[in-house]
Amino acid sequence: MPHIEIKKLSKSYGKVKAIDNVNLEIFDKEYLTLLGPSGCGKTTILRAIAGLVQPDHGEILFDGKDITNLPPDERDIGMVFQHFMIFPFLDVWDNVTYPLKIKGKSDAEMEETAGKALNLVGLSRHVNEMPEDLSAPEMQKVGLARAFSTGSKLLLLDEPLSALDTKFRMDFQHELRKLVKGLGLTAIHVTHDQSVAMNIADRIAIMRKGRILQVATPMDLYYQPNSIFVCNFLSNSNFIEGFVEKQEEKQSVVRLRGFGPKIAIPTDKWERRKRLVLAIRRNEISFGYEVSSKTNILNGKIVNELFLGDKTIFHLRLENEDIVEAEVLTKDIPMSMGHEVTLTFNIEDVMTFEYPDNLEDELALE
Amino acid sequence: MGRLIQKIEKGLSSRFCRIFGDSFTIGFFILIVIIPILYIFTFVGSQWGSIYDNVFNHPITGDKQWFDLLTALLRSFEIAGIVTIIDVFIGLPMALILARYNFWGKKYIDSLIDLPLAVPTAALGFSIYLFWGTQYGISGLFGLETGLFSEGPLMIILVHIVFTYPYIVRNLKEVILRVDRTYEHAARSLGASGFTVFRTITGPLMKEGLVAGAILAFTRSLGETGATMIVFGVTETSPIQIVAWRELGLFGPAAFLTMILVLVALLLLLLLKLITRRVGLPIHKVFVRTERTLSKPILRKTRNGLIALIFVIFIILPSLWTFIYIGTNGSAVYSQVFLGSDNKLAEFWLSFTSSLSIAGLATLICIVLGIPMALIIVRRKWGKIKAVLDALIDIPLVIPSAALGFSIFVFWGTLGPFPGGVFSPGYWLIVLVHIVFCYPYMVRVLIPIIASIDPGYEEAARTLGAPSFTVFRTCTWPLLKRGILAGSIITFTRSLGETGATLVVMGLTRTIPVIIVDWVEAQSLAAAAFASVIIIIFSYALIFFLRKITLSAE
Repeated sequence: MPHIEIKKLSKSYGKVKAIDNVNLEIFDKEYLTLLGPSGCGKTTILRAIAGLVQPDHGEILFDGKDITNLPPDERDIGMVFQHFMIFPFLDVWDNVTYPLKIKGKSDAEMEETAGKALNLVGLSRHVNEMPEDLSAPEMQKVGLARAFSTGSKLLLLDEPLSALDTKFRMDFQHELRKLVKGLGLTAIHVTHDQSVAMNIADRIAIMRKGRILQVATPMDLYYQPNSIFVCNFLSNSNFIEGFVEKQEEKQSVVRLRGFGPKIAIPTDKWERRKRLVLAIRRNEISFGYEVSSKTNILNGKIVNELFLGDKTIFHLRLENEDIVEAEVLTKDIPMSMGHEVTLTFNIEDVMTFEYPDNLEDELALE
Repeated sequence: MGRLIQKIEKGLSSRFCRIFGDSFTIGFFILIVIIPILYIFTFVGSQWGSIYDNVFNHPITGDKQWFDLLTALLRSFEIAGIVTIIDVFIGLPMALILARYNFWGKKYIDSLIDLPLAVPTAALGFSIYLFWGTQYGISGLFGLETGLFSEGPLMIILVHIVFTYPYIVRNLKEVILRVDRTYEHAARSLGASGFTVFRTITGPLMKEGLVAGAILAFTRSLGETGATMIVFGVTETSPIQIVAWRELGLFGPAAFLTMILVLVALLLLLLLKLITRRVGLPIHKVFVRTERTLSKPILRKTRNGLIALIFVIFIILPSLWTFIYIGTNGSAVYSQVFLGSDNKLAEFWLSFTSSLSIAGLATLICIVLGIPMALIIVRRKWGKIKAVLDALIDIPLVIPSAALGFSIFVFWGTLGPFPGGVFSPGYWLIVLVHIVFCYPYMVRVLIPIIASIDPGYEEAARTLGAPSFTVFRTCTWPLLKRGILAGSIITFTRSLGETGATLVVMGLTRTIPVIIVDWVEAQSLAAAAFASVIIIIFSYALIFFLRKITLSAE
């Protein structure tokens, strides 16, 4: 039921634009994550949806109704916080029944709704405990149950996993998604953690510096990033500079800078002499045995290796002195430092971007 | 020379010196501060027969003293209760405004709130008396010949509200600032309206501060003498009764009342230490409609406006009215102070210098003996003993100063345990009494500052070869300096403004608050205004300076 539209939303704090003319649509029963480095404005959007931040411009619609000026308590939302915010002077039961109590619900109704919510998160046996006696994951489950017992179909999650240990985070995120889907909720989840976003979301909105760069499914974002930043944020890629030398049918040839080697790219949309950035994911590069008309071939010399256990990362110097990183399964490699090797990767896997005004800035993860 | 200092400090760092220092500090505290206060119990116990005859069974007055005592006590409680309730009602919104809103001039309001804390209550009481109770005040604006109110309970309440108000506002503001607002956001997101959030979330989170502030305001009101002296009319409160009986030489009833007040104060202190954690606020029922209506922005704005208006009319304007009085009655002031045959200027000057020298001496001694006490409480690993010391420190804070003064007067005088007495009323007994009630202020200011100093610095200095006294001089002292200055200013202004205890032990010596009271009683309003204004400016300048220090320390 909740279908949310955000139109031309802006909010500044002094001279800093926290969010700048943002448009976003979240569909009913969708799990959307707002992903971006800290300070990108994702939390401001969530808080604006909750009504905890009053935007300077723009509007927010719930099911077509403008709620921009409604206070949070009249918006019918459920929200989960990074630091749980379980009221410290109330026990688990009183925390979970709080939204019902303040709406003057009857005892029977409270028993039923809160009981169900606690059951869902598996905390039925902890009802009489005080927050100080709970572990961090339990606290967040109480937070979740409390949000469920509002009865709202919209769940807002502000970094709900980042105060938990890595070990619990995985379990919790699967459980979270299952609960949201099982209850048929619309969820908006703010996170700075790519893997959480990739795992949990139907769609991801990637943000940077107050703007949304791309909204798409995790798969589409990964394989078709619309900018160098998105590509760099979601995958470990090599970014190398080159110029279009020749356009062919559905393909082009790019020569790397410094009269380097040639690389075929899977598009003919760039005109001749266009300055480009090519992005090749580290794990798409392999040491070449299988060569076909669909692969690129490069020669390089191993100058450094980082052993990560199951994988090893090699730094390879090309003939034009560019360094390329390759991530290879450790068991597959006979090579070591100083060796000359042949690298191969699929033409299809080369992503191309127009060379930006400031490449360093595009590659900065903030 | 350097060698000599090194040797001396090495000697001072010895185990013997440390034990001696600790014992001296604690010995001083017990002997000079605590025992004289508690001596009143022994005194009343040992003299019970004659006190009983005096209070309950006097040959001429019968049980009149007992009746008076009871009336005054009940009245004191009543007034303190009413004052505290009003304080909470007008102080809570003000604390919220100061903690949560940003507006132009907030800085000034914030420092104006402190004004009644800084100024001697006698000067404050006089100013408020001028405002409400004379034709020079508000009634003059309406062309009336007399004051709007006459002296009595109503004016006592008006005065007490002014000087207890800052305790509530300060305490609550600090607590509200410490409340994590995300809890409130969480409650809002769960559907609670602004008012409901305040009642069910902010309230419980700040209740300890609220209770502590209320108890503090209550004890202040219960124990105040200086301002009350000016406006009481015929309505005697307990501290005034003690002063009056002391002047009449009725030591028996005075001692009995003192004992009761000390007992009450100790109970309140116990309450402050124990009960604050256990007070619950009801959130069982929520009146959804009403609370939503109460959360409307228009109501919030009205409330803020109303609070600002009350602040100006009942707190600030009356407090500063003396200035307006002086401005409009300059010639009367001039003739009373400079031209009168009784030479008020000389009297003023004499009491001004005594006030300064008493406050200076008391402060100095509090510094010297307060630092080691604070160090002991924070640093020594003595377990229970430390906790006891920590609790005892606050005793002089909560006891009505007239009662405190009377107990000390009895202890050191001819009625005390020393044959012939040690100190008779006069300059030195005033100094002694001022040390006693100033001591806790100094120690209380120093404790958090010492606690916040990372012992790592001192450990580093020790590893570099400094003996413990050298560590204190070269490492702890520089970190502590600002705190000592802050503590000194508070101690100094406290001493400067005290009336009740001074009245009991002063003999022929006069301090500024005392001559203000004297002159008001003699209807020399112009001269009293002159003394008030000078002492107000002086104290406020000190507090202003204090704020500068503490602010730049952040």
